[in-house]
Amino acid sequence: MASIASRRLAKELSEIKSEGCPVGIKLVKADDFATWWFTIEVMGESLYQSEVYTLQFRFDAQYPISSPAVQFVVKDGLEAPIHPHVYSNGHICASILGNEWSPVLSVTAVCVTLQSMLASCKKKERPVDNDRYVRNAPENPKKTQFEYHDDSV
Amino acid sequence: MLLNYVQEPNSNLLCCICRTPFNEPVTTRSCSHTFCRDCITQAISHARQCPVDRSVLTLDDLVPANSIIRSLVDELVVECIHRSSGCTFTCQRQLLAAHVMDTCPYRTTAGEEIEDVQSVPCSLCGAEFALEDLEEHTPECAASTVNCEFCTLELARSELGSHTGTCSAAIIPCVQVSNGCRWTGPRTDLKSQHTPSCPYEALSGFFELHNSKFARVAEENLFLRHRLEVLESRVQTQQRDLNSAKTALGPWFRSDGVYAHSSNNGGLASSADLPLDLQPGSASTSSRRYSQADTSPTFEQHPPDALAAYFPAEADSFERRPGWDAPFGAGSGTANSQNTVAPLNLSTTLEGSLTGVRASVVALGGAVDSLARRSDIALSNETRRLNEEVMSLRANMHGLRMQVHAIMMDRNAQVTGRSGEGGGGSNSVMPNPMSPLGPGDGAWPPPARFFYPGPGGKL
Ligand SMILES: [Zn+2]
Ligand SMILES: [Zn+2]
Ligand SMILES: [Zn+2]
Ligand SMILES: [Zn+2]
Ligand SMILES: [Zn+2]
Ligand SMILES: [Zn+2]
Repeated sequence: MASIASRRLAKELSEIKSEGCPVGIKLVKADDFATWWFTIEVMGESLYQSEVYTLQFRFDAQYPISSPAVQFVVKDGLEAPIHPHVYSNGHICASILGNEWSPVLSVTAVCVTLQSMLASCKKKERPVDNDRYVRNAPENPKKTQFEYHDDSV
Repeated sequence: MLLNYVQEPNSNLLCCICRTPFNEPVTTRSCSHTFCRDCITQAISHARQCPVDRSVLTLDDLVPANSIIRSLVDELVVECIHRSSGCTFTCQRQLLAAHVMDTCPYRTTAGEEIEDVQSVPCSLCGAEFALEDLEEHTPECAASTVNCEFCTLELARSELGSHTGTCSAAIIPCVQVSNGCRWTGPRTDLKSQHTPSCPYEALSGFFELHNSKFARVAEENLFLRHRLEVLESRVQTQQRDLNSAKTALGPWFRSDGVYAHSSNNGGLASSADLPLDLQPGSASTSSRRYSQADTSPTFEQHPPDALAAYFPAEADSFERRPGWDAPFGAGSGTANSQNTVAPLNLSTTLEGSLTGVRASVVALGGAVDSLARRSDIALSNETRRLNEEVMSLRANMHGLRMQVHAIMMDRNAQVTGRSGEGGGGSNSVMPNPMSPLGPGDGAWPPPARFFYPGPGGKL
């Protein structure tokens, strides 16, 4: 079934290349069907004005049945946005990446969702359990069982 | 099955999970969404919900899709899976399996599964790719080997970059390339052959010196440019200030020297003319200053003589009568303090200065007022004293007249003694007391008895 994943990703990639990404999202690299990088910028009025972050997608053979592993890149000088749902190691606590993932969703849909998550942020702060989580966090955010916070933030 | 469709399929025929036309389409009973059987089966095994609307879903809820949908997808035209090998055959999707198994010239084994052909692992890095993707991948696979273009050494692609940096056969430019050396050659030759003969290398000390000097100059230039910017912005700010000041001054602004001149004369702007307050006892100075101000262009609107006429007179009265103040000891103190005017505050706006000037004028008016009052009092006092003097003079005059009269009477008596005796016997009573009579006599004025006219009634 690995082929379904690569076929579907090839399809998404060709759509991105022919139709372009949504506003504020740019494809940085998609050299293979294992890891893609995007930059994401919140457009318009927000706490993250003119800040650009890098998102990493990692796909397994079960994609799109299983969700991609999505996190902000926090190496080589890149940092995760300060947000109540984003840990300093780049992991994101968003239900859409966990139990609310649907195969209907796509890479760009995830990007747009995270973009609006940042855009609606009212106060720049790390999650309350950031230090504890980052100390013991698994490398792959998909291995974390997040307790999703309320989505109003 | 992963196939290439000759035409872009209608998007209504795409499974939203795999994004390709339905394969064995099934529809959910509960929410009427259609998916490939494989796709939705996997999705349900992962999460028991409809991927589209998240309603609860089990395998029992799936039924084969409408036959129209099935025939629509079955009749889509696809390419042969061996296209990359050279087969250009296309047919309806439902007929492809027969072609691949029986008639395709590129078929390998009779029992070949279509899907197996599609997914191939890279022999070098092990990542799996669709067949056509693998062809693109191989030349750029990080694990593939390449030959160094200089020494022909075979290495992994990922190591090529670091090797080229150290390869002894690599063609590199001279280290002095930035100073103009055109030499390029193998890295091994640089140290051994070129460097000893490089004319630029010989000058490397000079270049270093020159470069550092140049860097200093560039830095200084940058610094100066920055300062220039600062100054320019400052000049602009001042220009703006000046313009707003001009606007505020309106007709008061004069671009030529008249303003400065007049202000010097009038003591408006020049601090050299300060203190502008009228110091106690310097009334004449201040009055002169005000007279000058009156005649200066700034004060054109005032009648030039309106006040000037008063001040010299005032000053004269002060000078001519040094003792004038004496009777008004307390009053003079008051007058002096009234004459003290606050200095013009030149740091304020023109309005402020004008207000100050006005206050000075008001104070001046007050001073003039009190001066007039004092003059009145002095005048009446003077008049009284003069009156008294006139009275005493008149009394003296009268005394003198009486004395003259008495002398005359004596003379008369001596010359016409008889007639005098005969005329009035009473006069014989008078002895001769008049002889010691003189101006210095303490009994002055003379006793009243002398005033009585003689019986002759002649004076
Ligand atoms: Zn549904
Ligand atoms: Zn499907
Ligand atoms: Zn064929
Ligand atoms: Zn490879
Ligand atoms: Zn080499
Ligand atoms: Zn050289």
